[in-house]
Amino acid sequence: MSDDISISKGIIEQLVDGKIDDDNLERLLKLPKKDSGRFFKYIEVLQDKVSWKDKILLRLSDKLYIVSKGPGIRITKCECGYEFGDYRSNWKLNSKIRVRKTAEEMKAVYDPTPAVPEAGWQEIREYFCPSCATQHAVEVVPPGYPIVMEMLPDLDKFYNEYLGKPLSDASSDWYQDKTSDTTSSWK
Amino acid sequence: MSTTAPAKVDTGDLILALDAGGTMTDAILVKPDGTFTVGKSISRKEDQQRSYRDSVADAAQSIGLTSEEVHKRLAADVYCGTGMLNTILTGDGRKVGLLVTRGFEDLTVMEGGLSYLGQSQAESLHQQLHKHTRPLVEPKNVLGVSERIGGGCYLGEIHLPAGHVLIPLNEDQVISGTKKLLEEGCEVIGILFLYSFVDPRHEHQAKGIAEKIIKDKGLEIPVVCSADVAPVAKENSRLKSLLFQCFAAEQVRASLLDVEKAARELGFDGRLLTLLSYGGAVNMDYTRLYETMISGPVGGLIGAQFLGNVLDLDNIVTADMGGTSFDVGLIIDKRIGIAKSADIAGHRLALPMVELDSAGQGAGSVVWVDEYKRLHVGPESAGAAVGICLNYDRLTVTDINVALGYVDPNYFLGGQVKLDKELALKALKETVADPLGLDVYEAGAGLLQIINTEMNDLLRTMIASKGYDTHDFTMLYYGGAGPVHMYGFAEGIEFKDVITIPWAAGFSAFGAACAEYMHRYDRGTRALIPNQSGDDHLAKIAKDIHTTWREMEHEARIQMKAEGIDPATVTFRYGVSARYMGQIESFNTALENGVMDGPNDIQTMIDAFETMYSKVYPEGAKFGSAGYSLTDIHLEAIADKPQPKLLRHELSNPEPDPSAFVEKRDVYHKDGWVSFNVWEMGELKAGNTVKGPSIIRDPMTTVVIPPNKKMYIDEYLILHYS
Amino acid sequence: MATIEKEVLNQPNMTAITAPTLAEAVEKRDRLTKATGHYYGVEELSLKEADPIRYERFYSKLHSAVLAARESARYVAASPGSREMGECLWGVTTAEGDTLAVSLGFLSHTAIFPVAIRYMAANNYDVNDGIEDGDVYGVSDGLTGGVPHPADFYSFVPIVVEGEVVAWAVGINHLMENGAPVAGSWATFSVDTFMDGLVVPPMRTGRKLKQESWWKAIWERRTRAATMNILDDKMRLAGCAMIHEATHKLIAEFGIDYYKQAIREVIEESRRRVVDNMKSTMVPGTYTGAAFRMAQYKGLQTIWSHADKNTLIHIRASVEPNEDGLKIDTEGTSRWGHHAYNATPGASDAAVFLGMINSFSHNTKVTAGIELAVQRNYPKGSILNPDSEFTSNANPWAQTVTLNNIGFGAVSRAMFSFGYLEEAFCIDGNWGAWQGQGTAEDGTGYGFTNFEWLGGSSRGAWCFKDGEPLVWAAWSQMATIGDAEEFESTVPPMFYLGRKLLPGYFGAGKYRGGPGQSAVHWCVEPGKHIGITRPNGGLSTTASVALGMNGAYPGPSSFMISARGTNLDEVNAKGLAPRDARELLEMTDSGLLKVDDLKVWKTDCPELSMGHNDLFVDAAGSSGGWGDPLERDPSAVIADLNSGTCPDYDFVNEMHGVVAAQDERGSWSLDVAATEIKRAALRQARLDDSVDVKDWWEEEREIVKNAAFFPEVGLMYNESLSFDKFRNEFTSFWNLPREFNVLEG
Repeated sequence: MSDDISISKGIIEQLVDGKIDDDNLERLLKLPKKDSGRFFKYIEVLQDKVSWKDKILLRLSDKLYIVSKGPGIRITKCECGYEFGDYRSNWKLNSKIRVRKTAEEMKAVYDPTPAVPEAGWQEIREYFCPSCATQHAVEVVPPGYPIVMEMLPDLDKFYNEYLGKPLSDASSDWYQDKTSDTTSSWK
Repeated sequence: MSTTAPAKVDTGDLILALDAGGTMTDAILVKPDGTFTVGKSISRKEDQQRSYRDSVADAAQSIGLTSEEVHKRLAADVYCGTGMLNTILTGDGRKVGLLVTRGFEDLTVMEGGLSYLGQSQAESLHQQLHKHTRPLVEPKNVLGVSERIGGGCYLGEIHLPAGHVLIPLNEDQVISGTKKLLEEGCEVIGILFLYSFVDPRHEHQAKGIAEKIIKDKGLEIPVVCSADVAPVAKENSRLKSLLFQCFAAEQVRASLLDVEKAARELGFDGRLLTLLSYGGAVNMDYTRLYETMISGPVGGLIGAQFLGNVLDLDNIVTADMGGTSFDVGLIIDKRIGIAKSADIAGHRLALPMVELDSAGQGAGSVVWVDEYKRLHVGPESAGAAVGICLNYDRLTVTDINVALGYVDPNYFLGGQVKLDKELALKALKETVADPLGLDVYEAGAGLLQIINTEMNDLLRTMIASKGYDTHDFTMLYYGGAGPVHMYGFAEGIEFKDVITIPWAAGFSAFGAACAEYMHRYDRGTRALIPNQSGDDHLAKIAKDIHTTWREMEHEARIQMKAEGIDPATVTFRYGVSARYMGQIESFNTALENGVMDGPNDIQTMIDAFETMYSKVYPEGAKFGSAGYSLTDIHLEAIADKPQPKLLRHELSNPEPDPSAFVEKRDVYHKDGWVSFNVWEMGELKAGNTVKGPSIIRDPMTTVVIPPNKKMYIDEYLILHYS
Repeated sequence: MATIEKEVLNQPNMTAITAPTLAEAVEKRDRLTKATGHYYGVEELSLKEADPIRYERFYSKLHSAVLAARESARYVAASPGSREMGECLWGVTTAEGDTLAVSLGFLSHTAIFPVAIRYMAANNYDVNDGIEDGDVYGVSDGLTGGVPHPADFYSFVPIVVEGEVVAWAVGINHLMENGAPVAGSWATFSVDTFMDGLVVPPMRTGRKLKQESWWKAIWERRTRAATMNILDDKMRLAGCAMIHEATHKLIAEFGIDYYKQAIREVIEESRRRVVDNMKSTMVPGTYTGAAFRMAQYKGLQTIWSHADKNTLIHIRASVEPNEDGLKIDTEGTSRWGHHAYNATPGASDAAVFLGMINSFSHNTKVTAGIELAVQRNYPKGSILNPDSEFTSNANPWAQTVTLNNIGFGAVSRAMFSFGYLEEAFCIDGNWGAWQGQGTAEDGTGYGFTNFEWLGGSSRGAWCFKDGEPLVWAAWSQMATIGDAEEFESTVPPMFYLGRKLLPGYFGAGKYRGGPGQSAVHWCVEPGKHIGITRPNGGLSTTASVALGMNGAYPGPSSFMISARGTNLDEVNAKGLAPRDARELLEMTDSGLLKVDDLKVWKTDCPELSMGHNDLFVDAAGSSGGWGDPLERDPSAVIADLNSGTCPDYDFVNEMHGVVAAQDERGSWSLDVAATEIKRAALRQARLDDSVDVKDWWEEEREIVKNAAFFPEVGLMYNESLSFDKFRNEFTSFWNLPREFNVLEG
């Protein structure tokens, strides 16, 4: 009991595939402390699922990953292979967007009617992968609201200090939001 | 078997009682002189007839009788089990259909949101662990029926009175609903309407309609009303009671009748009895059979109540440490305390249930250390495998007791089973001592202290959380492992007295043998008693209570007659649930008698309520100026049933006979080795005082008496620890 | 110090004379903690090391005393919220108010305990009036007591040993009525603190564990539910009295010196465990979230002209896991306003710590340790930390809950990326309640609150399965909506016609949220008058948080409907009364239910006078989904159609691209081939109907530059732009000059 608990790759796969049963789920939730070996097994499971070979550094969302394209290049990549560019710039800027502005348009995604956001005060933004059309994100915000960078990971700190396995191209300037570089290049 | 079969209450000179627990089925056979013998067999859920036969045979042969001889001489045969709970847990009950008040069709899915029942604070805090219980009915078989009856409001008669019909019952919907449920193949139909505990007329009306349809179809499908199963407030709990009755009770009745069949084949010609969750024994034809769900633990409490009466103890706290759990219960004023909410297997029932707290820790519980070097005990248990010292693969509490020398490895179950002390020591070293960097014996002693402290705290909490003071309580230990740990559990808590019994292992079964033959009747009400109430108002309420009690007495006599009891022998206990006006929790208030003729008797009732309330809460919590209200009127009907007698023995001198001395044994006690005198339980006599350090061994248990403590054996052979 | 002088007179007592004042105690606690980074400067857990068993025994005694207090005291209560729901809590704290142990209940209030204590310390309560063993203090003020809203009433009982306050017993519960102009427990439309009802800064109301007589008069004269409030008051005190006694016994048993050291170690130990938990489960970085809420006062609140306007409240927060735990920065959040939704730092903490305690304290002792592990920034002047002392704090929960959604949501994302998927789900906190006052035919007046939808809500989708209905409550560990048979008896003329789940009421996704709840309340013979309001919990006019999880839609808004002047008698005769909000709307559309005055309220409603056969219908407790809706397993969609969880085929057909056919018995079956075609078509439509973000950005930027927004939106931006951090984000994103300001539209 005194050693670190280890969770099998099979269980992690079940979690990823949404096939885990309630007993195993409860077991995981009741661990006195999380199994420290989880991350790399998780990455293995994910790497097995994608068709491409780039090394997954982190899973951002269901089908979005930060991958390494070789030393000094870390990009956001869709499970389908589409590449959104440097992960430090919000990937949403390189996606396609559909905006629901009118009550009519919003009714298609909320039900019953009184639950629909108020047109003019709110709009619903849907962000798609330009290649596989996966809906990667949804924002329900007022018109004019800056697109939200949901997560900017500090990869090097994570790999160095939390996992104890520094990345080969570790450097201090990775952890910064470069989104505005993109927008400033637009106008 | 017809309900009018006479209960065997006049002749016969033996009493038999069994407790079919998770691992063992204990039998207690009480002989004419009040002495008794214990029998055991492995519990077989799938074949309860067999475990019944084996256990009884075991008890019988120990007094040189056959099972048949025993059964022919039986005056009473009580059988407690966990069958119903298993049906609920495994979900293999009847296919239920429900008719509910329209608009409440999701009741069974919502469960009032109670998704944390039975969880520790740490678990319920981690909300990802909240979950609903497996529904006992398919959602599609819950149908709404338009109807509404009002329940009155807490401010009294300032609005429509309780029982006011807001929407009459829509009979067409009852008809179509019933037909649909029958089409779906439902095997039992339950009906729950709002406020039926105040006025059941719509439920009964619907039941009549449904039964007619069923009859016309030539089917035999029971229709059960919530008002008949649990006529008390709060629809979510009432629903669960209804579901337990519909889903589980009926088929468990079958297996219990099965056991009764076995008993009759062996020559018993009375009725097999089982125990209610609030005490009392009923036969297998009892309408609200779901109330017998926790009959096992209840047995222990009844035994405690029995001892209380013999020894004249008003308040008792019981601690039952068996193989897998540690149950704490309360006897208050010679009565078994009744819990506020009955939570079982993730369900909250509307059911009076004995005050029982449980920790998943027993002698068979696994002991382990996590990576933070924190010690844990349980919840996993070796059950009948005992521990590493027998044939289990992990360290258990018993292993530690064996390793330290408390338990004699060569005298387990009287030596029938040999335990391996070396294996236990080895495991203790590897699992606990080494990780913690402690000496193996220190580690063992430390572990026992933790276990004892946790139990000790559970005892405190159980008593404190009810607002009682331990000084008013006698502590009673039983269960196979109770006496082994009593010295530790009792540490630091000041009780009036601390006692155990030689037959601790079979005490729950013994308690079952002590159970009185009792039915409880509850009726919800909404009577308000403002302080300035005039006499005519009080008289009106008194009349209502009076009438209710008389009706209940009548109902009880009829039911018990049907169960083969002479109505003339039935006696009654009376009580109400009352509260300050505005409160929503009611407090069970026992009354001296069933006299309720006028205003004065109402005042007597209020005084009884205030006395009870002051026992629980500080002065600052009383609120007489708000007035009072009654929410429940109840009655307990008691029939004669032979009881075991505790024999009085002549007191011999304090010094035990030398013949009782077995050996000296070194035990690592707390912080060092101590040489304990070992005595044989069977050889000790009333009047003896065994001084610590001593161990009293017995085939079924081990009593530990540390240095500077002593154990006095009284005229009833009850062991008093001090 | 009065207490000490007395002791000196009676029996000269050196310890007493040298006992520090509360202010000194607080100063020492802060100094030692700041200097070392360890609570109270405790760098070694020496008691734990020396004798772990004694140490654990000490704590379990303290803990069980608090648990016991709740289990016993709550039965004194009058309000269902306290007795059965999680709407109460007991705790024991250090002299400085740092939590040592808490009971079950709404735990995050532990974060607030220090506020009132520190206020009393700073204002020399102990020096001037003297604080004696067994005194009783009442607190319900947001500014001086940190209380989230005045209906959350606190009772503090000092535990004094040798002239020194060594601990406090605390009891809290949510009152059903607290005497504001708007009756109930959330003074909707309150524009400043003077309209919030009974608001008391820390004040002594009793001695020797007994309230003084005048205190009863306050409840009777200043609230509309005296009986309930007095019983709740007695309940809090009963629990505190038990903790008071148990703590004294504990100190007598272990000795005051052991006690004083052990309580510091207990907090430091749990702080370490919490930090360890955070660092071992969260991917470091920056997680950003937002949420919005409309405060609609314009034309509804016309008496106070300066408050007769609409405010779009913006909650913005970033979460950054770091060495010491994590940091929550709310810069960019709206400024405070003349409405009921302003919070205080205390109220904000109560929200922030909901998810934090849930996620990081469940495997250790629940103490103030976690408060040291979470660094919070609530900018002065914001709605979370107003720079006015007179703001109304009547209903901050209506917006602070979203602060918890954002923080807790960040934890979910961080654990998802780390691989601890079992913990990750879509966080929502969409509560509801209704309240009011009335006068019965015989002239009896009464006030009430029905907060059943405060008792529980559905759970948002997990990252690997659907969310479940009515299974948790973000603000309490005890999800329980109580019983209709109890709530109904607290509001004389209102009766339930339905209390159920609301079909289709959740955020869609690969995995959907659990459906929320809806109740139908029917007014029968209202007597002289009954008026109802609804503190619109959770979010209103928009989703419960701005960001859906990984392509799913966030949980929908809560709302209510009033239907006044109906033909309900006819409908009831047919046995067809509406059972939930959806049915009510369908029946009015079909004409089966005739309504003279039908209103849908997406924000708080002003008092609605209800007449015979009027209906009041609410919906709350919805939650969001997880993942792309087109990824949803078609068989799950079919199951939802057949169970009625999703009632609208056309909706799911477009949402999930599932094609199904219905047989004569009404059950649906999947058309696999057609589904594949439909899904392909929907994917293509996504590409056809959408534009590159760059193109969208260029058009949108013009709108922003010209501030072509609804006025509420413009005002919202102006407020948020007054905080530098958001100004930077906003102007750099839109590539606008740093000094850009949105003109009021």
